[in-house]
Amino acid sequence: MDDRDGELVIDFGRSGNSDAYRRSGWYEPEPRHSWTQGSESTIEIPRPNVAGDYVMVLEVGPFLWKEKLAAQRLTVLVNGSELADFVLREVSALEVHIPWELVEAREWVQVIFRHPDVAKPVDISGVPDHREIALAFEAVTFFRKSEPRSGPPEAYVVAAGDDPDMLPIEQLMIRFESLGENCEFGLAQRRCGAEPLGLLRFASAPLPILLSGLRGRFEGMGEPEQVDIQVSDNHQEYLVVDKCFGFLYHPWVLVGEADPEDIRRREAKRLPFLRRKLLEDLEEASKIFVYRGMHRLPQPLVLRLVAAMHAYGPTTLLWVELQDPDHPAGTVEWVATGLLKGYIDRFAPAENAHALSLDCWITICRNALKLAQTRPI
Amino acid sequence: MSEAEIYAGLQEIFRDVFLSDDIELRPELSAKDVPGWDSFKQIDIILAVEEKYRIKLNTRELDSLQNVGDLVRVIAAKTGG
Repeated sequence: MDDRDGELVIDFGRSGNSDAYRRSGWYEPEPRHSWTQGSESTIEIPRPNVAGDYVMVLEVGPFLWKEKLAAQRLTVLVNGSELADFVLREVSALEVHIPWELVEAREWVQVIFRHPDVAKPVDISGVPDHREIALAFEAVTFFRKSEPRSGPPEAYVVAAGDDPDMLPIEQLMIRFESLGENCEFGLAQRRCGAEPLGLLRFASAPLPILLSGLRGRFEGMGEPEQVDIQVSDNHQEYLVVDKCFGFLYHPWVLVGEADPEDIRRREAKRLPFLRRKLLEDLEEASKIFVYRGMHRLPQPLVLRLVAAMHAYGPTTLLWVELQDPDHPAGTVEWVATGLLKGYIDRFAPAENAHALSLDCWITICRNALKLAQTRPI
Repeated sequence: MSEAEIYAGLQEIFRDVFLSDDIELRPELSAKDVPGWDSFKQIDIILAVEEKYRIKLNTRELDSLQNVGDLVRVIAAKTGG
């Protein structure tokens, strides 16, 4: 656990660290997650050293099957006290607030997950899987609650330039830089004729990996022994794997178009250059960085990202989520110092980032630039 | 270093990056004019420029590049041309 702010990230994937924390009620980890076993699962984590209220974010997907099993209920107990109830109908990031009084007296914090809608796939869908599963845990992040960092507001004003409403879209979109989580925004920029040079523009950058990279200044990315070339699941294109932090990205080379070793050598030259540029961009804070999660992200988790970015300079992050009844598509608002939140009508499907909502991305960027040039909170 | 020398040096770089002798460099030439000149090619051009002229372009300089003329001016300024 990180003593600065008590942060702990438990990765439930096969190569993760969950063995140290999983107790009863779990199946063996699979590549990206661990299924719960039975109707109750437990983890134990060491009590953080720093006093304060904490937040736990669960990244979890439910076992569902059409109308037969349309949702999974989940109750979370910490040291015996019931803290939260959820109903899951899709992969979600769930936020649980943990008061310090609940954990201060014990060396270990016991977290129980109750999931009464457990079922066997063989009974529900007929597939020959006799396990009793309910929820697939991908990650649990545990960190101290903190107020958004305050800072001199003027430091967060993006340099005023041309009127965002009048900017040609190419010049508008070049003022933004994607931090992930996938390549959707990088492709939106390309459709607008904007080709910024960005380390993570075409990367898969899940939040824990991005945080780890930012905190480590992306040190080691691009060193030849840290670059691996793989073939995509559909066997059509090459993918570049950064072994330092776990970023995965497109070199946009089809299988057969180039020798993998040539790609590896080329990326080992490009990555250190792009790393250098990203660090300068973060320090200069003249661009607006963009992040969208592959599922809804709780604000405390996004504030972790903002804090990691602010270690470099007074940067602004545009965090994009799906529209809701209070925030129609295209809305952008300040939600914390250095953090803008934008709302989009739809994201591109995970399997085809090209099928994106371009007009809405452009509207969000115009509105974000207007706000960033005027009134930070 | 004169602008003519820089153009001659860049001509070689563009030939290597695009594997083509057909690109005739002129100040207003930009990515829109050359098929395949995307951000990946731009990185390859910049890396080759940095190596050839032993210079480093910072992020402001990189973001200011709109065309070949801009690149020549940055190289000239950095090499005392």
